[in-house]
Amino acid sequence: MRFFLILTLAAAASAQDVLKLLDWEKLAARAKESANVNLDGNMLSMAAAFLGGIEKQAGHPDMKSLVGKLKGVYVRSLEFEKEGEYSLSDIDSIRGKLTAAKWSPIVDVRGKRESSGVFVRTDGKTIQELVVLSAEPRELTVVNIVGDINPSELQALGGKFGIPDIHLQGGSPKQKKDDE
Amino acid sequence: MKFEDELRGVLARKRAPTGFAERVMSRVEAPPARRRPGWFAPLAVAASLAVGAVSVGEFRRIRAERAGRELAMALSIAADKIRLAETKAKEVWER
Repeated sequence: MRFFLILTLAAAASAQDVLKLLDWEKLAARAKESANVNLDGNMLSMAAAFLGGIEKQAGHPDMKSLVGKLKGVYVRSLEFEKEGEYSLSDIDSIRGKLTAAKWSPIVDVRGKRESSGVFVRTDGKTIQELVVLSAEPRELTVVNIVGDINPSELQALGGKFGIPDIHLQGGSPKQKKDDE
Repeated sequence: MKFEDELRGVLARKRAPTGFAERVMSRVEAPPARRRPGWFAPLAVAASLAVGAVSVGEFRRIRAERAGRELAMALSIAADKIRLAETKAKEVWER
């Protein structure tokens, strides 16, 4: 029993530390532009209250409950002047870590020059954590959303506050290795 | 030489007479105490609290606004990259 508990905790910890697998400071030093977002539970409550206030004025008072279930939103996004500033193997190491921790890939596409993936951790019923990996020749992005994520509620955010439509589909993953 | 001796005598250090310091100090007038009306202190405290409360409220509002903008940006990036991943997957599967 203790062994399984330790195993579960280790898996959960490795998943939460997904952003720590890369040396972002080192990568950011080579980047042309970088975006860094760290919103923990407290900051999300404040953000939800602020956005909720705007939403309420617009007649959509569901923002607070929607974001209120999230525990953390973390983004690291870098844009480089030229190609080759990071290694695709870095992204593969994150992918490997997630797969080892039994995360489910919703989408996973790997090419020679780019790679994209959407991974979720569920408790069997709902999504508890989401990781988006996006590695393009001159752009590298990792998004980590922690909390009770309802895909339909998340999709409802699309079109508001400048957020594009979100297509987060469950079910069988689209997983393919692009050899081109 | 006589003049110099006289000068030395005049300028020589002498002890002040007894009670000199006390007499000088007694002549120095103490500055008049500034009297403030009784309502001044409570009003000052109330004003300070009001300014403090407004500042804290404003600070929180600014932090909330910043957090809101960061959340919108984070979700925009997430939505954008999820869509990109979906598009790439679709392209690969359609080949």
